[in-house]
Amino acid sequence: MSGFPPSPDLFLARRAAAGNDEAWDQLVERHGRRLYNLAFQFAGNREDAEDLTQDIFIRLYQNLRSYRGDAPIIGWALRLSRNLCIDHYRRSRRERGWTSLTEVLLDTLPAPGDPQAEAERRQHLEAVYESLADLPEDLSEVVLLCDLQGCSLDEVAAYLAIPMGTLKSRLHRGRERLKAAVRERLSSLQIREAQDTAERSGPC
Amino acid sequence: MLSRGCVRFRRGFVPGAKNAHARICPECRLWAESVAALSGCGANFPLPGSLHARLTAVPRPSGEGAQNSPDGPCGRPPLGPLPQIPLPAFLAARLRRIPAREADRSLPPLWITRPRTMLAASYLLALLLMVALSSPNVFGKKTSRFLSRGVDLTVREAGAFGPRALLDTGASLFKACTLANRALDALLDRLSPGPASAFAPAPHAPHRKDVPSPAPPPNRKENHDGTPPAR
Repeated sequence: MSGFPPSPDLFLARRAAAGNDEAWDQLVERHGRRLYNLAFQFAGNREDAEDLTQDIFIRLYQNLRSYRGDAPIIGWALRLSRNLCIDHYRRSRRERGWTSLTEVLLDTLPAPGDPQAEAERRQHLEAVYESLADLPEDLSEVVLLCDLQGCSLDEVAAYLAIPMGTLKSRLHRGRERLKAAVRERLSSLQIREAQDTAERSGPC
Repeated sequence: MLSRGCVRFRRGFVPGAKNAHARICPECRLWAESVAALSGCGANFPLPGSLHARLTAVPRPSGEGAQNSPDGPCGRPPLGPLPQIPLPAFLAARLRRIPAREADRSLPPLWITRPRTMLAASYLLALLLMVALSSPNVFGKKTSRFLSRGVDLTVREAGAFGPRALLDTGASLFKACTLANRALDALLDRLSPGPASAFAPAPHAPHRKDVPSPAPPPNRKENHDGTPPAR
């Protein structure tokens, strides 16, 4: 037997697999919100996110018996539905599904009270998602999960089934490229705004 | 040193679940009891509200400015982890119902889901229905023998690939089919002179070998004394 104490998720998974409804409820309680948020990031809109979350949980339930506790259950559950997630993510990138996602996120964030600050926040959020859509899929997925959703490296490595070194390297490259892209996008926006202001004031 | 069975038992142990190994191995039984007792006696105090608020604030950046700054710390992207959207209540309820729904969705037997055994079973059923519902006058002895051979072959094939239950069912059906076939043989032997009278009630009819040859039918082209009929 391994020296590690079994994680609570492993206990819950085993009890749920044995037919204990209370354990399943606890699993939903513990991970429902995070998986829903991850599904929202992949799907880009509420309806698809709800369907995707349900599909993820159905697959999780069907495969509970094979969970060994050697990976975080979030990453493991996402791995089971990897094809579904990636299909939704590709469609969302193609159809600019993140526009409705940013609206929902802005509603969730506490209002700054200042209209200019709110407009800036919207600009930044949109710049990040637009730049993510321009990144290669493998890089954008890693940045999205690690930095925007706060997933741990273990979880993302379990989801993508890649070694930790590969994940870290992808994350570093993704961050660098995203940073440059966002900076470029924001500076071009500022230049455009400055030009608009200059045109509005006009040569007197 | 633990045996393989003990290691397997302890690795897959779930408190409350019954396992045959615990009954035969006293050490593992003691171990299971102590683990179950430990898992049940942990203190579970509620987290004070103020501490919860302080802890949830830990991973967030200190201010709004830091969150929206285009250059995040440590080479991170402009935004920190985004706020978590709450899980809708109806979706949580739907997720909780998954086990009940999955249990309701009873799967069909394995032999139905396998195309080969399903084909064999439907063929067998069709043959038996044909034997049971059709008239022996239509198919005759030849057909019934062919059917019995077909049934035999089908049952053997299904038994080789399908579960044992199908083989047993097939064997009993085959026995019934053979009995029916023998009865049919006897019936056809008895009734071979006149197909029209195959199903005529003849409760006291003697066996064919015990009676003289039947009288010729009335439309034979000769007279009773053997002379050809006059035109």
